[in-house]
Amino acid sequence: MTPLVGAVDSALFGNVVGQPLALTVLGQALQRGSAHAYLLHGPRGVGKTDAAYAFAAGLLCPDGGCCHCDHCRRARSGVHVDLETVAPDGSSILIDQIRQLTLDAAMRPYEAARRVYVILEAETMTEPAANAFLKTLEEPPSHARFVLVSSAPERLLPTVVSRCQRVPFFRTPAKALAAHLGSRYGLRAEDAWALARVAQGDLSYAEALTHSQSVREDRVLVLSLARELPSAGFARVQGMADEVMAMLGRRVAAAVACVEDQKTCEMEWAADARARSRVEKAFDVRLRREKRAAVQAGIDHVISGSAGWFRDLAVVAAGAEETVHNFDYLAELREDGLPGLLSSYLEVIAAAKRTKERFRYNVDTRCSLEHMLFSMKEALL
Amino acid sequence: MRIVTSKADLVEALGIVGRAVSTRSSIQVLTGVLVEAEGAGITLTATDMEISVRAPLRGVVEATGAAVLPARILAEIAKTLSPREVTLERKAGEQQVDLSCGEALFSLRILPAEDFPRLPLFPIEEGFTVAKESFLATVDRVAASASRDETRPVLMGVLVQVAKNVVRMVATDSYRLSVKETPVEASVKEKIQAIVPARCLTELSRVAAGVAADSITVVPTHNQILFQAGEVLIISRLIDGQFPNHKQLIPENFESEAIADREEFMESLKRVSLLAPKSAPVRLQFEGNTLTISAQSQDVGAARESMPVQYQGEPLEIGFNPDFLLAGAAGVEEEDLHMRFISPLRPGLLRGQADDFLYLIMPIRLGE
Repeated sequence: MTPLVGAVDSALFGNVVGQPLALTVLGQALQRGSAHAYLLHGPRGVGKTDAAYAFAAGLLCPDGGCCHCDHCRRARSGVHVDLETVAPDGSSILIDQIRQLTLDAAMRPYEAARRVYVILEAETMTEPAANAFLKTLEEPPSHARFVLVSSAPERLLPTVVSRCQRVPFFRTPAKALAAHLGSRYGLRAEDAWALARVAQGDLSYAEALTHSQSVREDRVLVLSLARELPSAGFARVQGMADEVMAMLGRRVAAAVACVEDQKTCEMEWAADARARSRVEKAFDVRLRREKRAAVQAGIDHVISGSAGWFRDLAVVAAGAEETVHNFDYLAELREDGLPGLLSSYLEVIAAAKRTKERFRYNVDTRCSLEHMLFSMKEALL
Repeated sequence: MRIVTSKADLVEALGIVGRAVSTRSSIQVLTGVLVEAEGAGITLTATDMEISVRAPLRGVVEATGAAVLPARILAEIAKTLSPREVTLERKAGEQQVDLSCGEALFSLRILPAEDFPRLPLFPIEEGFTVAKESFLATVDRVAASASRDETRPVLMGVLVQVAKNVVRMVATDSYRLSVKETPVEASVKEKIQAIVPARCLTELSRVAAGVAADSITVVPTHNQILFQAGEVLIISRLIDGQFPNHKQLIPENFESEAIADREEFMESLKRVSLLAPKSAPVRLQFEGNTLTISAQSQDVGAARESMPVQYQGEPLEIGFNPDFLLAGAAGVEEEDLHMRFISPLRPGLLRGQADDFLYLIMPIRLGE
C-alpha cells in the first residue's frame, strides 16, 4: 500500500487511528483532485466522523489541509461557513433537509473554493429524501462536495452508493489502538494492550473506557451480570433487568444534562421570541435524538458485552486462552468456563444476536432485555 | 477595544446590517454582528452565509479591537437607549463588552470573533460603477418576478447582464418573466453575466436608497458578487446553473395588440379582481375597441367592467392571474400599456412604447 504522502496529511487526520486504506484514498483525493461524493463506511466508533471533518477541512483549505490555517481550524470544529452538516432530524434525515441542502448547493461558496456537505448517519434518509438527494448527486454543482458517513451502508439506496467513491473503514487493529492509547493517554503498554482487546477495535469505546469512570463501571456491571446469570434464579433475572434499565437511565440522564447545558447557553443568546422558539424546537429534536442514541448505545453495550463474556468462556473452555477479549478477567473465565458447555455458550451468543436484530424494530426495551436474559439462561440449562 | 458613538448612529448602522443576521444557521456566531474598530474607523458586519452586509458606524475609536455581539439584543438595546453618547468597551482579555449610555450599563457576553467568517477579498480594480438610480430602478421593476420556489434555485435569482452601455436584468418564476434593459454608463470592459439571488438585490435596493451616493460599484467574481453603495458593502453568493434563455421564451410575432390607459386599466383590474380570490383568473375580453374585464367567484358573486382600448385583431378572450397581471402593468410605468397576444393559450406580453421593459405572462385556461 502506498504510504501517505507528506507529513501534512497525517497531522490533518491525526485523530484517525489505524485506517491506512481510508486515509490513502482521502489523502490522494486531497492531493490529486477530489470526486464530488464520498461514502465513509464501516463499523461504529472507528473514526469515520472525525475523518469526514478532517477531509472537509482539507477540501476547504487553500493548501489542501495545512492544519494551521483558519479554514482548517473552523472546518474541524464544524463552524466553517462553507461546511454544512446534515444529521437525522429525530430518527431520519427528512426530505425538507435535503431540499434545503439542494437549495444551498445551487449557490456558489461563501469564502472557500468549494462547499462541503457532511451527511451523518446517511442511511437514515427516508426514501423520498434519498430520491431527492439522488437528483443532486446525479448533477452536482461543480463546487459541491458530499461526504456521506454511514455505519450501515447496506441500508442506503444502491443508486446513491454507486454515485459515491467508497472509503472503507475497519475495526481499529488492536496494535494500532494500543499504540494510540499509549501515546495519547499515556497508558502503560500492558494496560493499553488489555484495553485494546476489550474494546475490540472500537476506537471511541476504548477512549471512553480510558477516560470515563461511568463507562468502566457499566462494563463491570455487564460482565458481573453475565457471570452471575447461570446461577441466578427467576427473581434475580428480573432484578438484573432492573439493574440494566437503571444503567440505561443513567446514560440517558447524562446525555440530557449535556444537551440541556448547551440549550441554556443558546437560549440566553436568542434575543427575541422567534429565535427562542427556534432554539427550543431544535433542541427538542436533538434531545430526542440524543436520548435515543444513549439508549441504543447502552443496549448495544449490554448485548455485545454479555455475548462477549460467553464468547470468552467458550474460548477458554476450548483451550484458546490467548484469544480472550476480556483479558483482565482471565482468572474468572478459567474458573467458570466448562468444556462441556461449549455448545450452550454458542446458543447464548446466538440468543444475544437475535435480540440485537430485534432492537432494529420498535420493541419495548425492558421486555426484550428480559427475554434475552431468559433465553440465555435457557440455553445454559 | 473602546469606541464612542451616538445612539442614532448605532441604530442606523445596526438597521443596515440587521437583515443579514442569520436566523436559522447552526453556527452560533452568525447570530452576532461583528464590530471592528480600526484606525480607519468602525465597521459592523453581519452575514447569514448567503448575503453579507458591512456598514460603517460613525464614531471615535479610542482603542482598536474587535468583538462579535449578539445582533438582536444589541439592536433592541440600541433602540431603547436615550439619545446620547454610547460607549462600547471590551477590556483586554475579557469575554464581554460593556455598553454604556448615560447611566445605563449593559455587559454583553461576546461570541468568538475568530469563528466569524472572513469576508471574501474582492479585486476592486476589476469592478465597475453604474449610476445608482437607474440600476435600482431596474432592480425594482424586475426582482419581484423571481421565484420563491426553493425547488428551482436558479429561478430564485435575477440574471444580471452588464455591457458597456446597458444593464439587463431578467427574472422569472415560470409563470411570468420580466426583462428590463437600462441604458447606463457602466465602466465595464467586457460583458458580464451573473445570477444574483433576488433577495440580495432587493436588500441592495433598500439599503442603497438611503445612502447618499450617485453610483454603485459592482465587483463580480466567479463565486460571489459585491455591491458597494457609499461605504456600505453587500456581498452575495451567486447562484450556479443555467438561466432560461429569455430570448427564446419571448415570441417574436403576435396576432393582436391592445393599447390601454395604464392607470385606468390597473384601477379596473384591482376592482374586478376582488372577486377573483386565491389565484382564480380574471377574464379579459377584447372586441372592437372595448376591453371587458370580468371575474367570478363561486361563493361570493361576479364582477365585470368595460373600458375603451385601441384594439387590433380578432376578438379574444383570455384569462390571467390578476396579481401577476397587475404587477406587470405596474412595471410598465408609462401612460400607455401595450398588451400583445397570440391566442388564449399562449403567453401575453405587456410593455410600454419602447421595448426596454417586457413582461411576459402565462395565461390561465378559462372554463366555460
